[in-house]
Amino acid sequence: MVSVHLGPAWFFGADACLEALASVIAFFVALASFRVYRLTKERKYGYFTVSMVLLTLSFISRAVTDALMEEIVFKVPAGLVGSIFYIGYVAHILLALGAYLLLFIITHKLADKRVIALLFLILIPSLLLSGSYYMSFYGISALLLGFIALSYWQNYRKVCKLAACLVFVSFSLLTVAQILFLVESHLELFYVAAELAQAAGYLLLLFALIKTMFK
Amino acid sequence: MKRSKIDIVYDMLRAIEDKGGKIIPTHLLYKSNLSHQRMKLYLDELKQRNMIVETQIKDKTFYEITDVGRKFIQNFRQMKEFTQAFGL
Repeated sequence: MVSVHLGPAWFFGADACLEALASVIAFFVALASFRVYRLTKERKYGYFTVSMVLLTLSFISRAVTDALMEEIVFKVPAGLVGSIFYIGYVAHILLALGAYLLLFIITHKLADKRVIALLFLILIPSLLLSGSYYMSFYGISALLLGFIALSYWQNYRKVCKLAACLVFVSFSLLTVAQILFLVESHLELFYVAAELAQAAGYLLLLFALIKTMFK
Repeated sequence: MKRSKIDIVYDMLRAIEDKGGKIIPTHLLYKSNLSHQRMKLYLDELKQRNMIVETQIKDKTFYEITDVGRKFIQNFRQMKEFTQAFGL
């Protein structure tokens, strides 16, 4: 019998729902960004849209995998559990890392293509040569999101607007969530806290989006 | 800082809106901070995109903002808010 569940049993289902919520919010941000891209035709909005689409797909993959693992929709044949877990989580990891890296490049306004290529190339061995994809993914994500949050702090200091503050707090919460995911193997409740911090982060992102769209 | 094309369009439309939706060319010229030649190019494009209409009142030319132009101003403001919030 293969067991690939994460977190306490009473939380089964809730995590998949929170991940689905994150994917819906990322999709709304992608839509808003695409609208701005259509208006301006500026590349940075295009890249931001791509980053949010990758994040949406990443969370869809994770939510579906968790829902299947926790047998919310239907019972998965035992022989397929391992494969579904592997495919679902690898897709989640690759798509999320792509999204975070793109977001890091945009927020830090990196223009040198050699530096960008180097970042992508460093990412591959850091992930593939690691003993645990799961751990190295959350380690790299925490670093990237931490730097993105730092950039949003500087942006908030510059523009002094509530929406910018919400975006900064949102990415700070997402960073905290990655750190909690890293240590969840020590205590199951860390997994719950990580999922809640992540959902709170995305909800704040939604509030920031609403604030900008209803100006 | 150099203004982008979209910034200039916004400045022109806002200048018209600030004047109650209707403006004479001379006022638009100094409010949009453009040369006469460049302003003419922008005016042609705005008319082509139905953002403004040219009207004649007592032999005087006026440029009037349309609903399309007002919608553009609203979208531009949202875009600026989005850009500032997400640090783009």
